[in-house]
Amino acid sequence: MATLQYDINTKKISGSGTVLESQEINIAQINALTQSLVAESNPNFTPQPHDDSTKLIKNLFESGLKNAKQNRLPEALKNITLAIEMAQRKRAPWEAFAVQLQEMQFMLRHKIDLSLVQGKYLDALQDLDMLLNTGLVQPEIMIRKTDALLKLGQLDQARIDCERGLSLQPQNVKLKALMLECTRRLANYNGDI
Amino acid sequence: MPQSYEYDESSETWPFFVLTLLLMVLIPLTILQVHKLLLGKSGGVDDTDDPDQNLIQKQLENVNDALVSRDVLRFRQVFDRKGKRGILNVKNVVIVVGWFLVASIVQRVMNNDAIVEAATGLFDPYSILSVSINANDREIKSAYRKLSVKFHPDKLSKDLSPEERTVMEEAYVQITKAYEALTDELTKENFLRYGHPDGPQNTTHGIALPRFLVDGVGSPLVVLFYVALLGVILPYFVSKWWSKTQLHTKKGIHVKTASYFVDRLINYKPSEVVTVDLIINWLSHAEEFKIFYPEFKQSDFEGLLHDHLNRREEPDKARRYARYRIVAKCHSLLHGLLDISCGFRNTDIANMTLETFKCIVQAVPHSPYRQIFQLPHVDRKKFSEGSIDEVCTLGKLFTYEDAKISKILGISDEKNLKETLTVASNIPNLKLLKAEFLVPGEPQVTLASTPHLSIKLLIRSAKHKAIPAENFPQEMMEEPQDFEFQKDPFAVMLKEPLLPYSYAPFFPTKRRDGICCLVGLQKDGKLLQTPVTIQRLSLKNLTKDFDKRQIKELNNDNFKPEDWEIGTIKIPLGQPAPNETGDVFFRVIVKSTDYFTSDLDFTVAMQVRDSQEQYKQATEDEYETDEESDKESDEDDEDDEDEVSDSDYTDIDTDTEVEEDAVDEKK
Amino acid sequence: MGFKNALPLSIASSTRLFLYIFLIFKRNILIFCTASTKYEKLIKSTGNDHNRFLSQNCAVCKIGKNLLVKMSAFNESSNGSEFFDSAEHVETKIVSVYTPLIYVGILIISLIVFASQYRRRKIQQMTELPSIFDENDAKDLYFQIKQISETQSVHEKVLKAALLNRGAETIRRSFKLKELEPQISILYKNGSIGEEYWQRYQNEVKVIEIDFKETLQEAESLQAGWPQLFVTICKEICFNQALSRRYNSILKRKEICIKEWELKLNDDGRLIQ
Repeated sequence: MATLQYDINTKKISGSGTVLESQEINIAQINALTQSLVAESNPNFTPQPHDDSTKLIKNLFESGLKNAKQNRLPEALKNITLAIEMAQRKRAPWEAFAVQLQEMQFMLRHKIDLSLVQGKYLDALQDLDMLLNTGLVQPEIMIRKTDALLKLGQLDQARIDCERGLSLQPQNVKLKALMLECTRRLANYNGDI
Repeated sequence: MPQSYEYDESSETWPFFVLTLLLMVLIPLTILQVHKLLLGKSGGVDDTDDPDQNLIQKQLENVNDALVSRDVLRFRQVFDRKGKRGILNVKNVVIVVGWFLVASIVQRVMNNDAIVEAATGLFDPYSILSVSINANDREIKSAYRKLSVKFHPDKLSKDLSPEERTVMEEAYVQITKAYEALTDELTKENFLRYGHPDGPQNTTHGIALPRFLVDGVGSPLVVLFYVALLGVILPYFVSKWWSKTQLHTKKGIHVKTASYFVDRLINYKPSEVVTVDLIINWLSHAEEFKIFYPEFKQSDFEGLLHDHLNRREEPDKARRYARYRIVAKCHSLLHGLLDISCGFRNTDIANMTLETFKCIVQAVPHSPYRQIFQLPHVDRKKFSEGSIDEVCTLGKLFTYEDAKISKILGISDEKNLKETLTVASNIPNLKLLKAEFLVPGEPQVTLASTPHLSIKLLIRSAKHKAIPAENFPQEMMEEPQDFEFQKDPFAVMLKEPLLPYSYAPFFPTKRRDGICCLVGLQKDGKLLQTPVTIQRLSLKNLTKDFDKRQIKELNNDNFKPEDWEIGTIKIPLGQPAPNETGDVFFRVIVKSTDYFTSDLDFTVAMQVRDSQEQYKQATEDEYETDEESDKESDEDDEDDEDEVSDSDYTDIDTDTEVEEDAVDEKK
Repeated sequence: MGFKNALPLSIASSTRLFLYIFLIFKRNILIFCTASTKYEKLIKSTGNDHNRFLSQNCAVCKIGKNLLVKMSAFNESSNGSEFFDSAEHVETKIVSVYTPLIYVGILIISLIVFASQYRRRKIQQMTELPSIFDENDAKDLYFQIKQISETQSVHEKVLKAALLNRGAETIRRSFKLKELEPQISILYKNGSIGEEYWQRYQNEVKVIEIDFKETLQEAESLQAGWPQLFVTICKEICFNQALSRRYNSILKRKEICIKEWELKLNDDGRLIQ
């Protein structure tokens, strides 16, 4: 177990020596909590989200959307990514989870669309995976995931996700079209001439 | 309560005691050995009668055996020797010696006068009167009269000596007794109950030990023997047996290994992507390895496994043998891990375990070109430099002519090419024809019934032209609706022949292919039940010559559906159908355990219907879904409608998926 | 491990053994008497009354009685005659009545001692069982900070932060355990995991409960009246931390994906065709 050191000025703790990854994560979490606690004047704080941080995040996000409308896609993507990072950093860890989750899901969806359009398929895929992990299992996400996987050349996995999407909404037109695309490319991949 | 104990002075009882012991051990042992010998001669369980299956096995074996390294063969010999040792093994020797002893004891018994005397001391009225056992009263009476005439003391001749007289008199007494034993009520009862017409005889109870052991010098020895037996030997063996059964789980892996796997699964963070390397890391912590080679560390085992995957040469003989032993053990370890991960409903890990299985059997790392690398004689460098068109699968490989294939794979030798093509065309590819849930006896799945999953698949070679499922008429895929089927729908699977031995020259032991089936729910993406391993499937189709390079189009001349064998897989479901009508979507994964090939991973819907409302429901559904498809099109849909489901099939998840639960709670 | 299980077995069989020894050593065995001399005379004088006398007067030792009957049955058949005929060769070994008491006493005491030792060892084993979860870093860090706070002056908010972190971790574990419960019990029933793991699981559930109570107590000591709010806050923190952990792991997952699928990406994250 690494030795802890406490810095009085920054009120942060840090580990020295060989620090395991899990310990590092915990140390970072404690530091984040300390910072938020210091910023919080009310000793009996509640999970109520702070309005000023909400405003900040929203501003960034809106500027991202504006950029997207003006077709300045790379900047839009940057803005939205920044917005998400801001949410992660600024918000206190005890602010209502439901609010934070919704916020993140909302922003991620936009980020994914922008990434896909710009051809950053792997990023989009990772974000899609994250959305799925948070419980947002919806046909739209499966559509985008199938698309991203097809573009990355993972045909088998694309077909599997497409089927999952179809099982959620059997009559989805886009999914059916994607399914045909998958089957066609798989036939080529497997040499089924 | 017997009043006297006698020692076995005249050696009357101990031979029988020893005889009983010996026979108790020898008779079952002999029967088992004879049985095994006879079965072993006739080929036993391993060979199958199916000629096609044998043909494929032969072809694969030819290539396989040519490529198996001598080391592995030597290892197999050592390995197998631990099991059977031929004629001169311990069991046979024990049997022979045992029967010899039995013979000698029987001989001794015969020679022992005392025993013979005791045996003949039995009272047998039938032999005394010289009548058969089935004689009736009249015959007995007449026999008695005749004999009494001869032996009655008054009727004896005068010139007999006193000894002879007494003998005659005794004989007469016996005859009378015999007659009475057969006729007189009381005597008959006595005879039947005690074996002697005079009533209960003196019985002696003896100790089957010779005197010197109990009374004399030998008595301390006997005490010591008892102490040792009861206080030391018995507890030792019982506790050893008990701890041995406690040490292994039902799947055959060590308890500590199972605990380690469960640990890993519980602490598995979604940030860790499951890869073959991760599974191998888990495997290298197995307790079995530590028991085999206590001097090695975990990193050594991991290194050995990676060496095996990359087919690295190992100069050190001891390490080579260690590698073989470890790899051979991986089979049961991976099955144990598969079982546990299905218990934790983790699809990704179960899937990756199966992939690791294949990697280890074929000694191929998990690269995108693994289907090609499993073939023999492939020059990997040339292959990665060469490929003009991305060739990842065997099917794609076979779209090229043989000459082109040799260039792609970098094989220059004719014979090697032939071997490679043989192996490539004999690897079974699975193609789904039809999958549905069946309830034997009912036309559809009803509420709370017990359906099973019936999969009809076509096993074909990568060389064959693709045959769409529609080309097979429905009749070929129908289930027989007779009573047998309803009683046991799974019996049809037993009629298929065993899968042949695999082509796996780098695996230390000879092994049969298997097909593993996993069933999960599409809604939450998790597995539902323990894996089902199938070992019987006919590979008859692999012998067909249906080369895709030669056949351009399917028509009635070159394709006859009846010629093709349709395989059946039936998977029982661990849970009954839900109690509400609707559609439940299942994801079924069917993978080969030994080969990299086209496996099945498909979705099948269980349409649970109320038996009366079947027709109404169908039409209603159609209308509803049409409306839905109009509504959804807007991708930037800002109103999320999270589907919160309350069915039994969903539950809370790991680490971050704790959030799912929170979302549900908040809603 | 094996021999420890063997002990109860061996003790049970030793009692039987003792009886066998009696039967075998009948001649060297002691005659249980209350008064040595009285019985010597009796034995010398009587023959078959021997039985009756002993059974009547030797009411003290029950074991002795049964053994005696057996013994004398022995005696009668083979040695009875010579035993009582030759009065000069009478061998009596005088042993007090306390012998069976001592024997029983030793037996019971040894059994009790063994049982208590066994139980103590079992409990020790149980406590030494490792936890199901890997290291509880949150808890360790909290205690470390507390230690530091005794030597250095640590701002109280840091301590609160560490406590919140610890609370969040405990809540996460208790959620996890609840979710695992049906799965582990099914695995256990199927025999796929051993006895040891089931024990660990049960232990873990209790440990987490105790840990949570402790955490609440510490919260109370840090700030009076905090615990109710503390629990709600910790729940939120737990979920939010999970979310951010997952988000922060995206980079690592990307790298693994690239390696697995042998993708070639340029700096911008686009595929190189």
